[in-house]
Amino acid sequence: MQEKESDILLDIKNLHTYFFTDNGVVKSVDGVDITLKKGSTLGIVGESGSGKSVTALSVMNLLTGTKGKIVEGNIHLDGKDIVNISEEEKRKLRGGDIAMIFQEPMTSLNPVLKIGDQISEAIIEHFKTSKKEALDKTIEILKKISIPRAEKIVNEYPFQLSGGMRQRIMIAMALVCNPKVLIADEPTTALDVTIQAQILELMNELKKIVGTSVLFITHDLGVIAEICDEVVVMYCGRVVESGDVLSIFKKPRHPYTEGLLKSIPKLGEHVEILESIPGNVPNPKYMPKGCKFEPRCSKSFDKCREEEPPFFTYSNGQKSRCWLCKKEYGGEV
Amino acid sequence: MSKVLLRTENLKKYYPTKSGVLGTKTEYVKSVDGVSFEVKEGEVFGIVGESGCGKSTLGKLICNLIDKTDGVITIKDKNLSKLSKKEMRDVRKDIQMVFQDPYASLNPRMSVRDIIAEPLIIHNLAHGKEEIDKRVIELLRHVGLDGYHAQRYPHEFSGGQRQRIGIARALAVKPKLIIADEPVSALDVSIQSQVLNLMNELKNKLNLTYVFIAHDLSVVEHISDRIGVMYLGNFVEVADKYEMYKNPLHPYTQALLSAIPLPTLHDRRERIILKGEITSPIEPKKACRFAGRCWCATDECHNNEPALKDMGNDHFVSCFQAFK
Amino acid sequence: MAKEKELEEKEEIRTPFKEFLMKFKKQKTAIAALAFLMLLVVFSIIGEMIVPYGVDEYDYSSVLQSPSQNHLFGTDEFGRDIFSRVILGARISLAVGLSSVTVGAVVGTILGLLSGYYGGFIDSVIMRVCDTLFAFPGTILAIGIMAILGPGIFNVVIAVAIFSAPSFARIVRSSTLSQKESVYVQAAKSLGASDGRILFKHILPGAMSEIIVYYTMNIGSSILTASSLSFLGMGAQAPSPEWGLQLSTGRAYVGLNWHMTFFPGLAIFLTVLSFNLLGDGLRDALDPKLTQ
Repeated sequence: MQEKESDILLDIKNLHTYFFTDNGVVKSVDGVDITLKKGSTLGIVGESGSGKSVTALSVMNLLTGTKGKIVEGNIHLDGKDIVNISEEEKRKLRGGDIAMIFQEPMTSLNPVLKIGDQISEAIIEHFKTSKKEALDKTIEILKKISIPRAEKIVNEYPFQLSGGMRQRIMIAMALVCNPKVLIADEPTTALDVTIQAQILELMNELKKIVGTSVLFITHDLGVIAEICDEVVVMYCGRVVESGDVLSIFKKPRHPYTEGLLKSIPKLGEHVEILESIPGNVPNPKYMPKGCKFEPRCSKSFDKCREEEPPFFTYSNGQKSRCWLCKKEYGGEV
Repeated sequence: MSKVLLRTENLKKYYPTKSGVLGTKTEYVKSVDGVSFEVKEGEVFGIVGESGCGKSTLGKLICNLIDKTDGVITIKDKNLSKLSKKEMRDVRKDIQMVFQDPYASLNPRMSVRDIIAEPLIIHNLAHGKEEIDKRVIELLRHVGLDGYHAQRYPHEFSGGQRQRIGIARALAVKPKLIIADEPVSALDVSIQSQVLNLMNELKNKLNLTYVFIAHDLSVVEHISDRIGVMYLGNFVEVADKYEMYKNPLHPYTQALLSAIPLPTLHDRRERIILKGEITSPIEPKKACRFAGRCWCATDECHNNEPALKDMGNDHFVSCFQAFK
Repeated sequence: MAKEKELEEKEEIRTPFKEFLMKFKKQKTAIAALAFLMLLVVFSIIGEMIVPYGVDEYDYSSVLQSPSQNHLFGTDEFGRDIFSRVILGARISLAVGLSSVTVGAVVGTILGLLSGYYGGFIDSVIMRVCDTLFAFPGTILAIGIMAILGPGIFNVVIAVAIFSAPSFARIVRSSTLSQKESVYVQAAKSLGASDGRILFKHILPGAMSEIIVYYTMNIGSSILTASSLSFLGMGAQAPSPEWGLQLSTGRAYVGLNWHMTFFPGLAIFLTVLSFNLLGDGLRDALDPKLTQ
């Protein structure tokens, strides 16, 4: 299934982001291709060491100051290169065309500024309005995302609000400048499950009203099922499987995805032992030569150890990086 | 009929806070507000609730890490407040805790061997380097690690491995009851299942009883035999897990069950979205604590506080609407 | 996976000490400072064997000579070789510095541990005493104590110990307060550890890095204070080669005979600087931000 060029909003090609530390080079993202279509919500799921957060930081160009650098590959937003541009242009993009919300709303909000001021600041910066206009727009947006007592909230400080409320403020701040892409890095992980439900509901609503494309990063497959249209599974800095949510959940084509789905305790399932994936994420110093998942895979065979598999594509657009696909499907890249 | 191992009666933990203009008025944060429940030998009792409900505080009270404000805790029919210092030390061996944060619960300056050996040394369970080393390696093997891991330091291990070390430490004194406070919340999904399976295996092998505290109902439901749902300091519903899943009586339980995002697709059901936020545990008014967020609250709910009532089948709930 | 296990087994154990050494090796100035201090230690131990002249070898024929080939640093008003006296003075400064700060550190640490761990009344009393001592500028306090105890190098040690203890108490107290709430201390409590065990096996090792850094830097300032006291005539007495005392006597001759004050002064400066640089290096190497 060919994707129309104009449909693609964010195009990450062959991204390699490495961290140059005192103990050696850490290849956090090692050859990742991700495409986000306009108006869709793409989930990136992975565990620690998978590189999903670093991918987001690379897109947002938030790596300066850390020991990380994009060493290869490029990222295009709406056809325009966003990696090889000046620092000034990168800064304009952040909060403008690309907005990000993080896991811990408390640390992303300035504790000594009132809520209204923080949101207005973003509006004034990007639209050059007056203070009053910015405040009006702020209240309008807060009402749009059903924040109660919007007029009072603008005068409050972050510590006076609960976690769920703060996360909603973060979403408001992110949407205030009508970004083309919203990157959400584990936005509900730190929240209670009932509050998480509220936030996911809110995001689903916003999807319909505002139409922002969302890159949703999480380790929770349940959340992916709730809110995403397509999903990308990452392991050890690479994409191992991608496709639309329905297909992936119904029939995962990579043993890692399959293992993840099986190992989650599901409400009402009532089994004695969970099918778990044995072993740990490989030590970066001893990365396997062939397929990175092979040491933990119950279905691996010789070829898996020798050579890293390429992507195999299925007719429904699902892609998987596993030699098993070739075996059963006999397909090529 | 198995014996009751742990029982609490009207357990309370109040934290005083100063308020008012000059800080003269003292209000109380009622973190745990009159909790009474029982845990039988060999069972896994799950406690689930969201932040601020008091479940972690309850765990620490049972483990005697913090002092209670009121109420009684009984282990094997021994009232903990009536014990001498020596008797208390012995009872300490029977209850052990596994903590949430695998990165913080191990002293980074101690080797794994010293960490696991510590309880052995404190309680004089092994003497001499050789005996201690032997027992440490035995415990490491119990939790799926190897002998050579003993010389290493916590920072060299992954989260899941550190959690295993924490479990090995808890097992060193051969406890009867283990309080697990969010033991898998900080772990990756694929490691969670490993640790849950390990805990299940150890329970059967070593005849353990667990109180499993977590905010993730799916996890709690998987590993527990009976579950207690906590809200703002007390249980609102207690039942065995099949009963709880099939027939949740309390509106909060129903909302919790419906709020969990499931990784299955045939079930995009109508979700109960609660309005508002969790109310403050400071001096709650005389009313059902959940009334403010409840969609079926009546006047009675706003003016009176319901108590846990046995609805039959060992299923307890505190809700006026459910009583009908 | 088996191969990985094998490799893991053979991997070197990264003890906290090894981690520290690796980081310390990169602190070039600290290593230079350490080298200088090692030299001083050597001087302290075998000083007599390497100096060309004795400590009070009077030579009235070569009084107040400028630095020359015979006398590298020149001579003083009694014709004594300043070079030899400076080297031999190292022992005194090091001894005073180390002993006074050690006593202060031990006393301060114990007070800090008790204060932080038990809080309440004990904490109030100890902190109020420390506050009182802090209210005085260090040297004034030392002078005050010397006035009570009388002159002499031994009393200098006591004076400096007294005024350095409160700082240690503060540092250790703050580390104790934060560690008290840590999960691993809670875990130790839940295992049934006694207070003593928690304090000495968990909390004290946790405070060690701060203590060591502060200790090293404090030696520098205590040597300075000891020299100041000797300079004022309250510390070492003639004919000791203590550096501060040499400065004091040299003061009268400073116009034409700069060498009499310059070299002892330089010795004090280099020693104090070295301890401070070493302390800086230790602090950077002991930085708890591990590379994970």
